[in-house]
Formats: sequence, structure tokens, C-alpha cells
Amino acid sequence: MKKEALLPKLKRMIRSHIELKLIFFAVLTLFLFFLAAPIAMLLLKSFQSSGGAFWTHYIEVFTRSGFWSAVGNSFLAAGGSALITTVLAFLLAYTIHYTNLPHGFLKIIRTGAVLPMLLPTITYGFALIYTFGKQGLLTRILGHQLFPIYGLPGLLIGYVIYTLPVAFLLIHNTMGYIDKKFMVVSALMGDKKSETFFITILRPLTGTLAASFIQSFFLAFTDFGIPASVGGQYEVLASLLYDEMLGSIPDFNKGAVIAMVMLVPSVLSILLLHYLERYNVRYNKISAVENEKNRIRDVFCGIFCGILLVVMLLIFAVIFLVPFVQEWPYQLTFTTEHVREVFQDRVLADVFKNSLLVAFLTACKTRFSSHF
Amino acid sequence: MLNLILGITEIDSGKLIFNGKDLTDVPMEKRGFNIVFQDYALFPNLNTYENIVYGLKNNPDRSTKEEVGEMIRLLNLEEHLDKKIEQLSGGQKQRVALARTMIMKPKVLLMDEPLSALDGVIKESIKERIKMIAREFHLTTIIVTHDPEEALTLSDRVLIINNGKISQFARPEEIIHHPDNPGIYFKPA
Repeated sequence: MKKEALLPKLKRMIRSHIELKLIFFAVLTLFLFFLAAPIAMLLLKSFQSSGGAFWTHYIEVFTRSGFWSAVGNSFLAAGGSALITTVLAFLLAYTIHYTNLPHGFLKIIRTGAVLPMLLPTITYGFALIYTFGKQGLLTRILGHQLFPIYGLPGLLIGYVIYTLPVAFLLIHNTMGYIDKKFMVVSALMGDKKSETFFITILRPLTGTLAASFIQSFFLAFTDFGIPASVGGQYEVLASLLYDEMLGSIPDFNKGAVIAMVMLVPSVLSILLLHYLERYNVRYNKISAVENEKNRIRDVFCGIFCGILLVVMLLIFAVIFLVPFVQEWPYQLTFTTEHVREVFQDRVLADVFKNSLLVAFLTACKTRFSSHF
Repeated sequence: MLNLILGITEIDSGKLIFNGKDLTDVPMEKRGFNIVFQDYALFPNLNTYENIVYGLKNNPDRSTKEEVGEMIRLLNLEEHLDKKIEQLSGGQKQRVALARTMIMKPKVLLMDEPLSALDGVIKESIKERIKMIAREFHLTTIIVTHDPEEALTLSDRVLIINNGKISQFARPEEIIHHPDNPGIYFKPA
């Protein structure tokens, strides 16, 4: 009886292993074709030259005036915004998990914090211009411009809006796995409030906060929509790359070099993220522990998050207002003319359909690949 | 209910009186009670010894070095002092949590389902240790459990709460022989 049952079982095992192997190879091929090959070609292009040594292009790019300042600018802008984003995202997540504010308000925070994900980054640039620019909505309301938006300030705000949803989701998610019972233990053992905060919230989140910083950094570092709209004279690597590849005189070789340079921090980031896995919060049985009553904390957090959300929503409100204005900022009369034009434009309609199709297929493929 | 006694949850009505003193509005840290949680809540970044003496960093005079050593011996934790928390078994973690709480010399010891994560021989051994600790230190101990057998074999008095109301409060023998609500005890586990 036993020997007969063993053979079909063995066959099933081998078959399932073959299925796994096939799927593994399919995914591997996908990655090879669509990721590894293009990067390899990029690498080749950066070395390829007609009649010069293989490092000619690198020298050209590295000695070009403004290249290294662009590199420095990129690091400064991306690093600065990553820091700001991580702090803001932490405060938002903390408010949701550790205060006693009304649930409706917390829900609004949760939705509002991820809203920017819905739009392409170049939109933020325009939204910023329309809100804070010389003829912007806020400038007109206040009577004067709050700050110059082209260059570093605009970049920072743009990057922060762009990376906030990602950072928030990361920190918010991990915070949910922290066992609040540690706060009870810490308090009973006589720890000061600051000690409790450090040992029960900050310490477990160290890995996540670092991951959030790194993630936000390389998202900002590689983005070009925001520098394209509000970058101004403040050159970053992404705008350089754009100029080389898609400027008036495309130079793919130089562009490839810049792309390689941009790849380095990204690869380092991924390695760092991998290393930080070990600091992840261990999953514990999630127990419902009430938050300690603290009016001051609640009020402060509530006001802070409220302001943050209002600012973010304001920036997006412009996007909804401006299409209905005849000609911003000169003719501020209401009109549906622009809206009608867009919907009647055949080219735009086709482009829209294409976008939907591409997005849909990408999502399917990603879902399929990540499932295995 | 443990939350109420401990002070995590605010009391809506009624009073909390201990040894003649009204503790209703006294904050949690000042009540002098301490708790051993069901999942132990041991700090994962510290080793066993550091966890046990954690409270002493803020209250260095709460227990003397000899008393700390005595507690460690009582709970057979000498060989585990250098180990990281994740290297310990459930029963060992339970003992460490108990030691950590006992070092603080609480006026009342609260325990939240202390035996539910254990079974077999370890369970019985921890049961004995709890009884021993309570007796040795004349410590009022309040244990919350869903297991009627645990409650009846471990305690001097049992308080049964059914649907949010007190159903009975008596010695185990009385509850077994004269139950007010027989349906509760003989439900399948």
C-alpha cells in the first residue's frame, strides 16, 4: 500500500517543482530583457566612442563646467527633502497611532497624506507655480510672494510632496506593528516620558526611519519632473540628463554617463535598505492598548497635521481651479472653455487611452511577477 | 479589569481603594502596582540580565544586589543571564518577566493570562513558581485567566466575571461545590 502511494506523490512533487522552475525562469527572463539589458546597453554606450579611449565620454562629462556642482546640488536637494519628508511622515504616522484625536480626523490625515500619489510629479511643479509663484493664488491672497519658488526652495517642497506618501505609508505601516505594551512596562519601571518615547517608539523604528530616508532620497534624486518645472537655474543631475538625452542636440553617450552616475546612489540605497532589514520590528501579537491621555500632545499634533494637510490640499486645489479660469492670471473669469477644448481634442483623447492601457498592463505584469 | 487596576484605563464611575487609600485619580506610575503580560513584553534589544534589572536604573534602591541575586536563583535564571531574549523559551521568558516585575517590589502583582502561552510540564512548573513567589513575599497577586482549571487550582479566592458583572467571589472549594452559575465552568474549552 505504501509503495504504491509513494510514486504518484513523488510525481506530483517533481511536477510542482518544474512549475516553480518555469515560473522562476519566466520572471528571470522578464527582468533580464527589460531591466538588465537596457542597463547593460547604457553602460556600453557610456564607454563607446569613435576614435577615442573608452573613458573619453566620462572625462568630457566630469570636466564639463557645472557637472560636479549639479551632483552636489542633487545630493543637497534630495538629502534635504528626504530628511524633511521623514520627519513629517513620522509626525503624521505618530498622530494617527499615538494620539486620542477623533477617528474622523485621523482618517482624513491617512487619506490626505497619500493623495499626491495620484498625480505625476511635473504637476507638482506647476501646482507650486500657480500657488506660490509671482502670480500665484496664495501670492495674490497674501499680497506678496512668500518665497522665491524657482531653485532650491521649490525643489525641496516639490520633492517633499512627492515623497511624503511613500514615506508615510512605510512608517505608518511599521508603527502598527509596535507593541504598545512596552510603553506600559517602561512607565511602570519609572522611565521619564522622553525615555519611554525613545525606547518604545524611536528605537524600534530606527530601521524604518532610515529606510524612509533612503527611499525618499533616491526617489527625489532620480526625479526630473520637479526640476523641469521649478528647478530654475539650480541644476541637478536629472535636468542635466534631460538636456543631454532630449535636448536640442541629443548626445546619448554623455547621457549614458550621467545615467550611470545617477545609478550609483540608487544601487547603494538598495544595498543599504537590504542591510537594514535586520533592524525590522519583530511581529508581536498586536494588542489593543489605549493611548495615554495627553491633551497638550493631541492639540499640538492635531494642529500640526491640520496645517500640513491644508497646505498640501491648497497646492492641489489650484489644479482644480485654474482650468476653469479664462486666462490665469490676467482674465480671472469663470469659463468651461478650456475643459471643453481638452475633451474635444482627439489627440489628447488618444493619449489618455494609451496612458490607461499602459498603466493597466504594467499593473498586471507587476502583479503577476510579484506573485511568484 | 487589569487595565483599570493598573491605571491604563480611566475609571468612569466608582472608586479604587487599596489599603484604605483612594487611588482612583492616582496616575499609573504612582500606584505601586506592576504587571506581567501574557506575551511578556521583554525589551528585545537588551539581554536577560539587563531586562531583569531594568527598573533599577530609575529606582536603584528598590532592590539590593543580594535581593536581585536571590530572585534570579529563585527562578533558576542564573545560566540565562547573558542570553538575548529571542534565545529563550516561553517558560524562560515568563520567568524573566516575573523577575523583572518582582525586582520592583510591587504592592500588588497583576498577571495577564500568565499560563496561556505555555503547556504541559512547563505550565505546571510556572504555576508552582507563581504560588511560591506569592507566598514567599506575602504578595497580593491578581491573575486574569480564561481557564477555570487554572483559576481554581492556583488561587486562594476566585472572582468570576460574566457579561461584565460579578458572578461569584469565593474560595475554589465553594465555587466547585456551590456554583452560582454552573453553565460557565463546564463549557468546552
